[in-house]
Formats: sequence, C-alpha cells, structure tokens
Amino acid sequence: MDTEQAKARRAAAAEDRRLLAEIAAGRPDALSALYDRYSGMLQALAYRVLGDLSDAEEILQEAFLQVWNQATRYDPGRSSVSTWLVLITRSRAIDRLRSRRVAQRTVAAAEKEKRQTHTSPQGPADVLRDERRRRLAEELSRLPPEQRQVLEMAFYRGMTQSEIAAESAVPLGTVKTRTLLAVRKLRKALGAQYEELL
Amino acid sequence: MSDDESMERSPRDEETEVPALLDRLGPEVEAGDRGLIETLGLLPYALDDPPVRAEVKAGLMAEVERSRAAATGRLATVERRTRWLMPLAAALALALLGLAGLQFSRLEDQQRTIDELSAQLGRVEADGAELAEMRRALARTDARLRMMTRRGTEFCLLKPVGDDPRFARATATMVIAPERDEWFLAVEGLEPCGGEVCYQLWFLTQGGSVAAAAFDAGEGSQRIELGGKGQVPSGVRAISITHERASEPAEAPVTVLFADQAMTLL
Repeated sequence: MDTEQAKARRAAAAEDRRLLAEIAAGRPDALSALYDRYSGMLQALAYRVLGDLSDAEEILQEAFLQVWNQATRYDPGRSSVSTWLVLITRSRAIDRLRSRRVAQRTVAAAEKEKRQTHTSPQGPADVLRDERRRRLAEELSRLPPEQRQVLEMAFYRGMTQSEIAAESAVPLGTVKTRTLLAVRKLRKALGAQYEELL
Repeated sequence: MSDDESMERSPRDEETEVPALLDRLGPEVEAGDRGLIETLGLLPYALDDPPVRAEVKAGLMAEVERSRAAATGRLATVERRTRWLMPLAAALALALLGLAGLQFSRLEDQQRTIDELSAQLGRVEADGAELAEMRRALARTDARLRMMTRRGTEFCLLKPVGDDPRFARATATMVIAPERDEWFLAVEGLEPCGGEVCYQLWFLTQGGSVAAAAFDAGEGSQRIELGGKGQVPSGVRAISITHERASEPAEAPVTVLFADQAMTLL
C-alpha cells in the first residue's frame, strides 16, 4: 500500500512539473489543471495566514497569476512544484498580513478554525492529499505544544525568531532550539513524503 | 523546556541555519537544505481546505486571458512597427538623400556667389588702381599747372632740326621752375623708336652737354610728358633732343629738336 502511494506521489510530482512546463509555454489549460490540484490547499494556507476568506481568495488568484507570469523562473533544483506554490502563496499572504496589520484578527480566526470541523468533498483526486493531511496532522500533534507554536508562528505569521521570542516572552535561544527540534522531528517523520516530491 | 530539547544534540550549522531559513522563507529560497524546504512545504497540507468558490477560478482565468490578449496585442504592435520599419527607413534614406542633394545644390550656388563676389572684388581693386593712377596723374597735372603759372617760370619751345621727315612735325616744350630745381618736358609728333634706339634730352651748357633723360615716344606719335626733380645745370644755353643708340650714346647722335631761347610769361 505504501509503495503504491509512493508511486502515486512520484507520478503526481512529475505531472506537476509537466503542467508547469506547459504553463511556461503559455497554455492556460495547464494552469487550470494545476489550479484544480492545489487551489484548495493554497486557499487554506492563505486563510490560515490572513483569517479572512475574501483576502484568501484574492491571494489565491494573485499567487496563480504569478505562476502564470513567472513559470519560467521555477527552478526544480530548489524545490518541488508544490512547495514552490506553497512558498509563493505564503509570501503573498504574509505580505498582505503585514500591510493590512490584521494580526489580531488572524489570531482570533486561528482560534476559531481550531474549533471548526470542515467537511471537504472526498473524491479520487483527494486521496493523496487526504493521506498527506492525515500524516501531517498526526506528526504535528506529536510535537510538544511549544514547538508546534513556534513553528506555526514562524510559518503562518511570518514572524522572525526575535519577534517570536518577544511575543512568547522566552529567550531567543530557546525559540531557536524549539524551532530546530520541531523541524528536525517533522523532517524525520515526513522524510519519505518529501523525498517523493523531488 | 521539554526533555527532548535538553537532550538532543545538533550540528552547529543546523542550529543556526534552520531558524534563519524560517526567517527568510520565500519562493526564491536557496537550495542549501532541500529537505528542510520540502518539509516546510508540506505544512499547509495539515490544514482543512474547504471548497474554493468557482468564481475565484473564473476570475483568475479571465485575468489570464486578458494578460494573453495584452501580450498578443503587444506582439501585434511590434509586428506592425516592424512592418513599417523598412519602408520608414527607406523613406528616411530618400529624404536624407534629397537633403544631401539640396545641400550640394546650395553649396554650388554659394560657390558661384563667392566666385562672382571675388570677380567683383578684383574689378573693384582694379578700378581702385586705375583711380589711384588717375589721381596721381591729376596731382602731376595740378603741380605742373601751378609751376607754369608761377612768376619766373621759363618756357623753351623746341623745334625740329634737319630735313628728316620722321621728325618734321615734332614739337616739344620744356618748362623750368623758377628755382630751377624742377622741370618737365611735353613732346608731340615723335614716332616710337623701336629696337635699341631712343630719344635723349640734353642740357647744353658752356662746359658741355648734360644728359637729363632718355625716353621713347608713344604709339601713334601721341603727346608724352617727362618730369624731373633735381637741379637744372647752371649756365644752360640750349636744350636738345637727340635720336641715338641707347648702348652707344656718343656715336653719331642725330639732333631731332632744339631750342636756345627761353621766355617767361609772368
């Protein structure tokens, strides 16, 4: 089962690269297909950062327009397509977050999200994503709360280590250590998954 | 701090690089730690993702179409500009050629004008020389007229000597200033000598003949005038004009005109 899923993930990564190459060649249908594959996850990312669905939708559009305009800049030696998309969306969302100074609203929305139960439609194309989500949620839940919090503050709120230390009222060295440990654990646990993206 | 935080050991570079990488995490991250980047890229998969509204995709694809149309328009514009580029260049080349021809024509006109002005300037300069000569002649005439109207000025009328028909109609008048320091001679009716022969003016004194001037007659036996500044020899008894070889003045001169009488008018 694991082997079949690994094969499926590798095939999906290869399909991502093919689609991006077609986007670079000016094929809108390829953009449409890539959008269908990742829009849900990227919108969720933007929503997680911004706490506002309208803002998240705008960020999603902007991110895919950037993909359309800058597909030739994608470097497969630096990241997988999915990670590239994540980083584009995250950067735009955090820029918007900083410009609109909606940090407080984001915190409130994040708390609200924790209490919500989403019911995403389930289909054959979502199998891999659901498996990935399940594994991520599982590994994140295994992290000590203070390590998960540091990781989320850095990734979803774009905070520097110094800002996290100030807001959390802990020494900067402790923040760095918690970050390091969280990343190291996730990396060890998810190694098989990200290697299949390469 | 939890137990695992205190117990775990990590390489020094990882301790510093991982937090720093998170601080600058973006789409253009360096590939120094590919595994770390991909691990972080998986984080959003833990989020629940509600369906995305269809309008979001519709808006995106519409924007993409506008972008494509604009790019096509720019391409068409470039093509239009390129299509007109060669004819425009040719037209410009022709215009430049015409301009060069016009300039060349104007240059020729200017050269003609310069030539005409140069010719006019030459004529003016020539006229100026002629005018100067006329002024000099006028000054001479004026000086001689003043000399002739002075009290004590002497006039000698020279008459032909001998039967030589060449000199039969010749006459001359010698005018000598009262102070005898200036004179002039007016001669008419002498034919040009030609060759090495010339006419010679002599002052004849008690002690001998003193040559005063050698000259030739003008074309058509026209009147000529000679002037001299300098002391007229004292004791002049007569004045003569001879016809002789210039290289051998003493050999057989022929006296043409002669006068031994002087008179004063005032």
